[in-house]
Amino acid sequence: MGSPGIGTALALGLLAALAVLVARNPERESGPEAAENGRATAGSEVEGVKAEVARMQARLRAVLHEQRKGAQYAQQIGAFQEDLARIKRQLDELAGGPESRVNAKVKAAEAEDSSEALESKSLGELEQAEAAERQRLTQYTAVLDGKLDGESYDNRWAEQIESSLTRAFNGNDRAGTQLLSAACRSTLCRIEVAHENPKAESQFLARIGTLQAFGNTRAFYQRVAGQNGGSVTVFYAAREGHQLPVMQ
Amino acid sequence: MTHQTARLILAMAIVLMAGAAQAADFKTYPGAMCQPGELTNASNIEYRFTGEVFNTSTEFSVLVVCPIVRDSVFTPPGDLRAVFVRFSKPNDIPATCTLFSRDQFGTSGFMDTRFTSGVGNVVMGFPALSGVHIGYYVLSCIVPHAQDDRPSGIVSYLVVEGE
Repeated sequence: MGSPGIGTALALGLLAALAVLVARNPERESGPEAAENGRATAGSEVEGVKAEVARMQARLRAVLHEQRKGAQYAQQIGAFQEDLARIKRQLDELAGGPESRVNAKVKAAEAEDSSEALESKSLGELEQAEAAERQRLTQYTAVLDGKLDGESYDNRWAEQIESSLTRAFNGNDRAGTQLLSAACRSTLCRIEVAHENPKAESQFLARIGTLQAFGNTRAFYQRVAGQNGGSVTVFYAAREGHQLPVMQ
Repeated sequence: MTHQTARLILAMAIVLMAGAAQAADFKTYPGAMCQPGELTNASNIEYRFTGEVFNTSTEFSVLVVCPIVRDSVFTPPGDLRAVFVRFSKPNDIPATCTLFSRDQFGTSGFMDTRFTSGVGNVVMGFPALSGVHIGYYVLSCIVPHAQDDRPSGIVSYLVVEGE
């Protein structure tokens, strides 16, 4: 800080002014007139120097006041620095917290994007994974067929769902989609539909929720593409309140 | 508060707690992410600059398709833990949504269909749905018609995905 330097300079200036005063002491001149004139001149000069000293003292006080304020600022800056250090410590202590998890996520994403990660998930491996998934889905279809075959026929529920499907497909709302079969048991239905084209398929799927068989429940489906853009989809819909078998 | 709403809030709380305990990815999408599912009546779909999608027709329902970005493409753990669709409804006409989990070519997968009636801010909740390895998710909804000048629509949808 520059304030102590200024204060020292002013103090030295004050001393210099006093030195001038001492150097001009009229008692050191020779002769009574000279002494008298000298006293008069010296008197006015002393007053001038005194005034100068008073100004410099006032300035010095002001500088010292500024110095004290500077010290206060320095104290405040020190406190801020301590606060900052404390916050940094707290952030470090939160190393196991959300921020680090975010960082971990970012790093994981970066790692995934890296060429190393891409190499490890090579095209061949992805193809293998796809083939394995197709096999898993085929096996799951067999599991569902097995479950359906093993269930008894619930006269009330199964007949109601089968009838509702037949009625729904007799109307005009499902244009382009035909019900091929509907077989329900006690907790599961197998529903097979044929679509004339992708548009009919899309329209059917869009409003599948309006069919009682699919209301408030889940289903598994498998679609087989046919000729001329048509397709056949087989749905396995669980009875409301029942679950589909877990896919292994 | 209806029993259905209370149950959904409870389910949301359970899912959120489960998500906190296990690794889960939460994303909320604005309703305006949804696209027209068919050209018929598409002109009745209104996208608000505040992020909602509404059906302004007082006669017809509209179909919208709402995308879901799948972050974790391998199963497990990338299954859907839950989906919550927030509707703004001026009448008691049910909204219907189907949540699809499809394989990469869309030939097979799982689906779940839910209805919700009620008036005002209504939440439709989907429980966990199996994902298909490397496949994708999508939500399709039928938004019921408006009541006078009060449209019906999707405000937002929350997706909880395992990771």
